[in-house]
Amino acid sequence: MSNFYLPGTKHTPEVDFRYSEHRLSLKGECFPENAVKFFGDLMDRTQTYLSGLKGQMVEVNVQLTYFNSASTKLLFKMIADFDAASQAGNLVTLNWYYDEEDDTLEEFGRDIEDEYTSLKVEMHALSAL
Amino acid sequence: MGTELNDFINVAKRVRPQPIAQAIEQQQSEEMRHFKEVASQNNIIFFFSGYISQGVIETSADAIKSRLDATRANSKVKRRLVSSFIEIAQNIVHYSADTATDIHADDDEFRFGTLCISASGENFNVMCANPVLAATEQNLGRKLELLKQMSIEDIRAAYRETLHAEEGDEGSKGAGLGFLMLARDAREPIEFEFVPDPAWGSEFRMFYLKVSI
Repeated sequence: MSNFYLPGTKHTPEVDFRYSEHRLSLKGECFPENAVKFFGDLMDRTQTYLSGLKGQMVEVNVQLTYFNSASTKLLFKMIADFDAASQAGNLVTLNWYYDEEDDTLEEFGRDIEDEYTSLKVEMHALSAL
Repeated sequence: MGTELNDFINVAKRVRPQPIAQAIEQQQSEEMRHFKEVASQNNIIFFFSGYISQGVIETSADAIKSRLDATRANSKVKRRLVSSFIEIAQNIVHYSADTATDIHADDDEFRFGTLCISASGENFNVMCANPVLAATEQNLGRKLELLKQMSIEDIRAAYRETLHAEEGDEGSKGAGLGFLMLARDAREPIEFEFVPDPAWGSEFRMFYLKVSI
């Protein structure tokens, strides 16, 4: 299936989902006016991609500086899909990047780690520039 | 910059008989001066009253970030302030009863509200006001009253529970989780009020919210 790319904007992250390379990345701010509209299509595509995998290594990179409440919910749901793919015999690694001073982002990463035990979560604290 | 401004003033002086500074003073109305005094006394660092859209929110968030860079507030406070501002402002765009766009639209909306941020020492208060349907007082009012009684541990637990829960409210664009996130970041229980407004009639209330960061 074809790779999906969306350039980042002031309120939506850069989406670089390279299904063919099994490397999916999200980077930037995330407060779209309608999160369902933003994430809906992406999640559908990703679910289709994941359901077709067998014993596959997948790298997911998330480097978001902020996500609003609606995005939080959908992001969490998408990560649940990655966890399900892990449970189905694939090896999905989630690289969670956050500013070392951002306790909210760090905590969210740790919540994912605690909740989704089949997923391999790697925490990456970034020093402020 | 200073030299250019002086040059401009000198040129303008040749055009106008009065000194430029005096002309501007006279143009400022008493109301404007009074408003600025009130804003200054209340340490208001941001104020917007009008139809709010996603674009307004983005630009405002940028302006607030720049303004905060000049203050001594710590990075955690600054981050929470901007997050809370965006969450509150987006609530207005989603839920205000005064809409310039179609009520059933789910994107590119413009809805009326007032947003205000004041500084209080090293902390801030984010306040908003917008009209809502009277029924909202029952639904949302009850939830916010419960929220006010919750300890920070209760709030965090409720946040986790809501995050894991399946899709619930019809027409909700994340409201439950949003208020929990605001409460989690706030340093005091969230204050709110529903006030009947004669300009709006009995089917509506004016909703006020105050979040202390």
